[in-house]
Formats: sequence, C-alpha cells, structure tokens
Amino acid sequence: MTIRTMNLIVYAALAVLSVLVLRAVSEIPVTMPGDVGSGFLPGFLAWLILGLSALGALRAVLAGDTGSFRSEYLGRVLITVGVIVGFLLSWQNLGFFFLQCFLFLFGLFTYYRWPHGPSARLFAVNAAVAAGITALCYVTFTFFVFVDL
Amino acid sequence: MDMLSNLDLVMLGSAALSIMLGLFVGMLFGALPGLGLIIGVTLLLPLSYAMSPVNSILMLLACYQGAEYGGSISAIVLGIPGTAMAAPIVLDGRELAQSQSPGKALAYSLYGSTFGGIFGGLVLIFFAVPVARFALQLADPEFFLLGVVGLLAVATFGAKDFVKAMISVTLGLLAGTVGLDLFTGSSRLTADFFELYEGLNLVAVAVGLFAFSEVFMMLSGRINKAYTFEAHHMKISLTFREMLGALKAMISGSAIGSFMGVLPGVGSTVSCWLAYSTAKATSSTPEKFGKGSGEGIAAPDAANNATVGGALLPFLALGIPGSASIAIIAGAFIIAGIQPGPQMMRNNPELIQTIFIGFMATTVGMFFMGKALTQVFVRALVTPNSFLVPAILISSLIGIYSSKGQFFDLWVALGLGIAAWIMRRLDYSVAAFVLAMVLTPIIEVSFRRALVLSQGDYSIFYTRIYSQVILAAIAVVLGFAVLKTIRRLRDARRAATTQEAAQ
Repeated sequence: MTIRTMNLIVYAALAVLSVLVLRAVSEIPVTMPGDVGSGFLPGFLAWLILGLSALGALRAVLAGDTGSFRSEYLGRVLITVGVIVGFLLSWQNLGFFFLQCFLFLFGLFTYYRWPHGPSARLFAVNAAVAAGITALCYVTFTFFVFVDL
Repeated sequence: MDMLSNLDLVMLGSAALSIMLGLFVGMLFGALPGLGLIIGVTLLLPLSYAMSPVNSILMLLACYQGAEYGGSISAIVLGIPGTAMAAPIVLDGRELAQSQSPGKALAYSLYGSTFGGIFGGLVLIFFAVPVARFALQLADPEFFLLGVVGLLAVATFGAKDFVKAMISVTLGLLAGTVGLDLFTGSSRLTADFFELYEGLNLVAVAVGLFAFSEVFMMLSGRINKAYTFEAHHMKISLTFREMLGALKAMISGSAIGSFMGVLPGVGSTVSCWLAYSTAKATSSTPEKFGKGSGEGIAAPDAANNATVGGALLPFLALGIPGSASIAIIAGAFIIAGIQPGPQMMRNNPELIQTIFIGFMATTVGMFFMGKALTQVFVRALVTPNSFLVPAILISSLIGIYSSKGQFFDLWVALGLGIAAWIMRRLDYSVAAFVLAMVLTPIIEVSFRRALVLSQGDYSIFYTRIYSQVILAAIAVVLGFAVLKTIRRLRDARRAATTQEAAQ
C-alpha cells in the first residue's frame, strides 16, 4: 500500500468519525442565555476535522506518490497485540493477576528472544527476569501504591 | 512542637524519595534509546494517585530534569541520542569520549545540565510571580485566546506537517469534550459508557498514545540488537579550569534554553541546536567544535535543562502547558484537584514555594545522582528491546489500571496505542493531541463563560487591548503556518516530479 492510499484511508476514517460526532451532538439543546450550548464545541471541531481532512486529501492527491506504507515485522506487532488482548480478557475474567503477569512476561520474552535459539539457558533467564519484574510489580503496587490487582 | 518537626522530617524524607525516584526513572528512560522523557513521565503519572500532590509533582519534575541529562548518556557512550533533544550532543560528545574519555564527556554534559537546570529554576522563581500577577488582569477572553495561540504554535513549530498537526490538535480537543459538560451537566460523546462520564482517563490516553505506540514502533525494528561499548575511564569530573572554559557556553545555552522553553511548541530540540551554534559562534576555539569540544557538549546540555524551568513558567503562571511533557505533568495537578494559573499562585503560595525549592533540589539531586549512578545507566544501555518491551507493557497496564481501577481504560489505551502507531508513521502529532486534550477545559470554559457574561456578544474577544495583542500573535503564527504549508507542498510536488522523471 502506498503512503498516499494510507493517508486517504485515514482521512476517510476521520470524515466518518466527524459525521458520527455531528449526529451525536446535533440534538443537545442550548439551555443558558448567551451560551453556545454543550454541543457547540464538539460540533465545531467535527466540521473542522471534515474541512482539514478534505484539505489533506486534496493535498495528498496533488502531491503524488511518495513511497510505500510498509511495516517490517508486522506479524510481531499483531501477535503482541493479540497477546495483550488475551492477557486483558484473562485478567478481567479469571483474576490471578501476578500469576498471569509472570506468564505474560515469560511468553513475550521467549517469543521475542526465540531467534537466539531455544536453550535451557534462554528459558531460565526469561523465567528469572519475568519473576523479578513480577515481584517488583507486586511490592510496588501492593505496598506503595496500594492497588488491589 | 516536636511532633511538628517530626512531621516536617517525614515530609522532607518523602519528598526526597519522590525526587530520587523521578530522577532515577528519568535518567534511565532518557538514557535508553527510543524511550525518553515522555514515556518516563507517563509511566510515573499513575503513582500520583497514591502520593501527596507536592510529592507527585516533584517526582514528575525530577523525571523531566533527569531525562534531559539521561538522553546525553547514550549520545556520548553509544553515539545514539537517547532523546531527540540530545542529538547535537553526539557531535562533540562521541568525539571527546573516543579521543579522551567517556567520563570527561559525560562530566561536561552533567555540569552543563546542572548549570542549565539551576539557571532555568532561577528564571522560574524570579519571573513566575510577576507573570502571574500580570495574568490576574487577564479575563476569560484572553485565556481562551492564549489557549488557542498555544495550540496553533505547537501545530506550527512543533510538527512536520501543519494540516496533520491541526487534525491532531482538533482530535485532542474533541477527546477533551468527552464526558459531562461542566456548564450544563449533560453528557457528550459518551456512547452511554458510564466510565466516560468523567471524561477520558488522561493516564490511559497518555500511556496509550506514547508508551504503547512506542512499543509497537520498537517491535517494528530489530528488538534483539544489543549495544556494546567499552566502559573504561568513566570518572565523571571536571577540573576547575575545564569548568571555567565551558562557563560561557553554559551561560549562553541556559539563556537560550530558558527563553525557548517559555515559547509553546518550540521545546528543547530547537533550543539545544540553537545553543550549540551560538556557543560555536561565540567560542574562542570554534575549530574544536565537532572534534570533541567541551563547550559543544555543555551548551546544548545546559539549554536542554534550562528549557524545563522556562516551560514551567507559562504553565504555573498562566495555567497553559506549552508541551506534551508539561501537559502530562499537568495531569498530576488535575489528579490532585489543583488548577494551575494565577489563582493558584495567589491562593497557594506554600505549594508554589515548595515547587520552587523542590525544583532546585531536583537539579542538585540530578548532579549527585549523575555522578554516582551514571555508570549504572551506562550499563543499562546494553538491555535489548526484547526485554524492555514486555516490561514497559506490563508496567503500562498496571499503571493504567491503578489510576481508576477500570478495565475499560485498558481497552481505550490499547485502541489509542494502535491508532497512534499508525498515525505517527503518517506524521500526525500525538504530543499535540495530548496537549490539546489537557487544554480543552480551559479553552471551552473560558470561551463559553466569556459569551455568557457578554450575553452572546462575540466582540468581547477583540475589544480589550490584551485580546488584540494575542490576536495579532495568532495572525503571525497562522501566517507562518500557511507559508510553511505552501513550501512543503511545493517541495513534495518537486520531489514527485523528479521521481517520475527518473523513472
């Protein structure tokens, strides 16, 4: 995908967002004399985004193609996002935060460091660092920040 | 009486610990390439919920100061600036580290940073009260216009692309309107999520936009790359003669940094390049610049840290943050229910004095911590991103959850992080977004209150002399932005034509 295409997709998404905002604030009444109402600023901003997106789209078309929008290691980013989603769902529904925290860290360390080649040392180091960070989080957030995780 | 003195000791002790924590995190995050100041401040912000307002503010300020120096550590030791602000320090820092010793280069950096920090602190102390006193004469129309000029300046001077920066600002303002309207109590853009009634959680927004998007950026690169260097000759000290030799550069750098820090959207990146070129132009040995000049390290480093005091000036005196880092520090004030600005200066003089004293203490603390622990931070540079990324992710997630105890915020942060990762690669400005979001209440409340007072008469925004001056500033900034956009469009078209011709 080219940068221009990606830019145009983002401008289109912003335009859709603006329309949704305009719909959401269109029926908010003005209740105070002299006041512009609760919906004025969001509505004005939505129109501004529409205008700026149109300007940006026009500019993108005029400027021509300026290279490709590619992400190296996209798979790694997507897998990480998937792991975060899984971790959040599991934390939200099952609890046991610190156990899951250790597994989350150990899993990601192992995944990222897999190119080094699997070995007992790699697993041991990953587990030790994951346990250390989990312990640090436990001490910090339980005894200093007083958060019930 | 004894109890009171004990209480003071406890308060002093907790303030000192907060400053040390802030400095440690700031220096560490500043030193690690790719992380930097904003992520350090962002990750510390959730701790504000469990701290007294003074301690949390001092911790964040210490982090700001520490990160400005920390950025120079990797610039000197690895030749890779830890923060964008440390880029000019590579020129002479790396040379001096190789030709003489890394310790000497780091010493110039630390002494410059300390000098700049103290200079910026003095500027803050001497000018904040008079500026705030003057600001008491300003009314709602002027505060509205000041907010607008601040955002326009950030979009114009602080970003690559004006249109995209303006979209970022507008989206930030829109995000700031989410929740219950302060005037009427009606809900706006909440989509019936009760978690949004108090607005978007600033911690979730900042962590999502800065920490998550940066993590995704790191994942898009080589995460197993481990830096190597020879950690010898690391004694961080300067002789009196060497210090005197760099004094002029430190003074000019500090003056430039303090002044540029006051201007919204300019920040330390511009100020340290300007400090570097000024030091070179005024030096008696300009030929040494680029070949390991101590002045070439001390000047930009002094400018870096002087910017902190300068940037705090408009924030404390007017309540208008001029950069994303200050906007996140403003979060600590918001969490504590304190509204920065002239009223705070008048009604809370103890808080202000404590911030001033604490600010100077952070600078002195930075000097001693830098002397004692720079070697530790140097060794931390070898940590590959494959270890850093999961650690940042988990501390971000806990930080967001600990701010309000809502899972909803975690999903918001993740969504914003993914969006910011894409938008940053297209030159949108997440810093402008956060700044605009923090400024929204000031801008909206001032605008609407002015209109209610004038019974809907818009002339209230241009009849007073102060408003006219600010409107003139807005016109200048807009004119500059238009010129910049035209120039950029022309360059892009020229590049496209050249590319087509080459094909």
